[in-house]
Amino acid sequence: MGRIDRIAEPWGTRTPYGPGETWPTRVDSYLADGLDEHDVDRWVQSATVLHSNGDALDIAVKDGRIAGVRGRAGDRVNHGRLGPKDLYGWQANHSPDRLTEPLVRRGGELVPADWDTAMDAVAGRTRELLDERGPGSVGFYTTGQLFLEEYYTLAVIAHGGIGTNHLDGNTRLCTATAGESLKESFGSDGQPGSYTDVDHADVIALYGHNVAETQTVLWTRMLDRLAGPNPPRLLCVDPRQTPVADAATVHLAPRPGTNLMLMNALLHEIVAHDWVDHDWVSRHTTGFDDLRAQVADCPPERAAEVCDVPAGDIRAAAQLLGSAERLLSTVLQGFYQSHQATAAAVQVNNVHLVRGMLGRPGCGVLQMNGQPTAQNTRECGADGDLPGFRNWANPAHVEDLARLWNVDPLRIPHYGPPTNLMQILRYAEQGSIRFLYVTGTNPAVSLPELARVRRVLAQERLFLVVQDIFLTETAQLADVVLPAATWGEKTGTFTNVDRTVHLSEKAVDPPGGARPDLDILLDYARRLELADQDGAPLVTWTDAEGAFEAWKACSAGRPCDYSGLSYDQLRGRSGIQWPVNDAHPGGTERLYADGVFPTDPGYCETYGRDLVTGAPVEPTAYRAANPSGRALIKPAEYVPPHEPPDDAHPFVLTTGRTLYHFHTRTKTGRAPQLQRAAPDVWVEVSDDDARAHGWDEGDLLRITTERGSVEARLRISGIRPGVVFLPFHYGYWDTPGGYRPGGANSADGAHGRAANELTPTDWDPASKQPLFKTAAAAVERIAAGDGSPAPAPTTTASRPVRDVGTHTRGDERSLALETLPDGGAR
Amino acid sequence: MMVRLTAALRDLYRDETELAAALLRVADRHGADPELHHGCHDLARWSEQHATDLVEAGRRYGLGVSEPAGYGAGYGAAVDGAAADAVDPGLLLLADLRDLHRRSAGVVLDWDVVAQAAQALRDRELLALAQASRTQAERQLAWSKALVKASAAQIMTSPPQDAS
Repeated sequence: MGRIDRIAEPWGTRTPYGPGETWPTRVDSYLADGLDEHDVDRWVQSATVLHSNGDALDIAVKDGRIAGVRGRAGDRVNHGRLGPKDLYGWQANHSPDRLTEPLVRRGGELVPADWDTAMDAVAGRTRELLDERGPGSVGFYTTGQLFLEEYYTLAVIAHGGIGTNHLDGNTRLCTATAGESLKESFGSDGQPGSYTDVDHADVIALYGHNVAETQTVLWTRMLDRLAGPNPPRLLCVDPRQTPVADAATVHLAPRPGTNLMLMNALLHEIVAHDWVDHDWVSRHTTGFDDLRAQVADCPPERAAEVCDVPAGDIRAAAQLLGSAERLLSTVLQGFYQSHQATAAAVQVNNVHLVRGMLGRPGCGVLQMNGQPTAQNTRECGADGDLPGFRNWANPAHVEDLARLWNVDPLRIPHYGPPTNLMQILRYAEQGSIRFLYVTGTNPAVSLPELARVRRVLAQERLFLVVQDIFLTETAQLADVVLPAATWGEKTGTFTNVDRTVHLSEKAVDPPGGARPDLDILLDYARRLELADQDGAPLVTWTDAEGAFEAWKACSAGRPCDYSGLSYDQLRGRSGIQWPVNDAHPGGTERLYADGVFPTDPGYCETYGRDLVTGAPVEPTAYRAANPSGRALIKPAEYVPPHEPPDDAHPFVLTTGRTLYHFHTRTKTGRAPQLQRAAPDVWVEVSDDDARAHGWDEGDLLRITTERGSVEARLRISGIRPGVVFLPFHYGYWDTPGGYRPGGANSADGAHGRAANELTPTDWDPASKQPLFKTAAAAVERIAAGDGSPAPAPTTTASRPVRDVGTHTRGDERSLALETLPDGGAR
Repeated sequence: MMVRLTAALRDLYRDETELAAALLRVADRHGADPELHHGCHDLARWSEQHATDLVEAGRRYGLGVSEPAGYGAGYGAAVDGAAADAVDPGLLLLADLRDLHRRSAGVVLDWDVVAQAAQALRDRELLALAQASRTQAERQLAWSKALVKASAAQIMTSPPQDAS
């Protein structure tokens, strides 16, 4: 055992391994207050919630409080490892400013209330609106951080009870494109691949995926392969010099907004060199000829011009993909939150389809998730889709659901696609939505064009309910605030990106009067007297396990089949990958190993959309072209981005995250080690641009777009020239402004620090995911620095191009334990 | 010689040009509805390209128009101008989409006519252009319909005084 500062060394110690070998175990743990393992009263099984990797861990409990965490050695996902956010982030549970009682707005102020008063207000306003204006006046906005049981309950309440089409999750911001791209190519959501593909791959291609910061343990797995014999070669597509770019054989840094053109050029090369598995393509796909025609006029030279990437580098990247024998691809926000998101992500699927590289060890696609429980938001229908990957345009699927819930099929809205979040906000802006119930998310910091978002949420006529664990920026605008229990304080299951289901058990009681989200939702359903068509209660369960059993019935026979799983089966063991049913009682490592895809018209989750216009494909057209179990190769033409730089706004603004924070910092900003590592907003500019303007490290810059301005200290980083980067984590809850700009970090008080003051209201037509990567921005220097560097980590993509005299590191309170395979110290 | 085909090409050129102009006008009017706004701009580019391609392809058939410039001149008053601010914005949105849909339907049909003629004349070049352009025109048609279907329920079931 050894102690290691995991702030300074986020990925810990290498345990090298070779292709086809088992990833060695390394158990990471962190206990607070000088405790050691003998002091712990009990360990409670759970998994990680401050990213999407789904690492299994045990929660240490001492005297009724959480005292630390330890990775679960036997789990298939992490083999004992944890990331910095997991090791330190749990401390936020103990923050003195946790919400412990409901608040209601009286005379303009939020004042404490008892649960009855608060819930009567919430249910009462819902009922009033349903009577006066109908279900179209009621909307719900949830998260990617609750548990499966809570999402399914919410989906039943919204779809089966209230009958509104206005339900979405903040997965719209992070994984809507992942889900949509899987649906478009394979007929249904569900990752084909497995994390174990890292163990076998000879080429790993990462598209807009800075895995080193977003899923640290998955990157640790890749680093261990890179340190071992016969390492994989990496392709990195990213405008920043990320740790992934450092390790890559080929790094492409395209002009933001041009991913689709780049993908079309890579496919052009693959087709031109005939790196195509024609036999597999003819047996298992449709649409190859369309793709060939589409990419014919996209040679590397054309893409080089559009993307501003050397044609030779594009050829080298294509050669890497074309020569791979076991290709693993991963995709994240650099594609999902950028222009033509779904079209570009689908082309990554197409690389695998034309190369016939799916369903075998090392041959996988991971359309990544951004949040720990995003997969459940999608499969349970809390993102507005019908539960169980059912197809809203297929009447038989709606009838099936209506039977299960014992309601009239007409009560389940299916006249059109579910209303996406940004459209829900638009309806609220226009006044047709009058009630918005927000659970576990903070749109007043995380949505684009914040001045507008604040204006919409603050409207008198909108009844805003916020259910959260802290008084977030959004909660400060609410009419009713409901204090929720969080991870470690409630029981439920959740599923990571490679379909691994984990059980997270309650370890301690929530503080004060805070209640599990599930209990609050059940209370809401009871007060609304939601009933089935025989007058019996619509929601028949009363606890988490009951909700899970109901979900199992809903998922049975669908691609995300949980029917063979139980709490008992998950308890004490490693996570299990769905589908789990009679045919696959131990779970399923890879989908589509047989080359059969869920594209049958009677079974598929969607009939698809036009990748460029977003228009749904008509059911009759899909049925006529019946793909009968083949995957769909869908090409798309490039369209220029919507807000190109101009003389007044010569830079392209892109936003993103840092390793040390999650979302709007509601938890990580309250964990001292993480907060110290990345204490405040910064802005990244390239060395070329800094020299051209005479800017230095630490200077205060103002970044302005059509929507607003932000001030931040300059970090001169390895970012592509012409591009500026802002981390999106920093809002206002810990500034004098409270929920909006006002004094914090600002020369004159008028400028913000939240990156989303600047981002445009625009979204991908197919996935409806808002775009955060292509805004035209002006940059000016407001004040010279005092010689101290920007408050940006030096360990990650934000590291300076030149030594700035300081290094990101922790203190004695950051020392975590590592137990290596040989039992020795590092 | 091909007087009728020349006329058909001229009509099509006019219709594509007017569709592009109509898309840009609708984009202007609905700046707060980004999906409609940006979609209009993206799809106007297709129509502009079709019109440009027609100029080249139509030359052999006596189509004597210059390359498209200054879109908007030909766009009629179907849902134009002064009335726009006065009417219910929800209904205006539906009316604009219906107008785009009708225009796109006309363009699709026009391309059918040209494709049939090209086939009969064994003009591979014109046929390829007609088929490619028709495919995109059909996608424009599907797009306006999809937006109608996505918004009609909310607009129809909300009282008009909600307009902001």
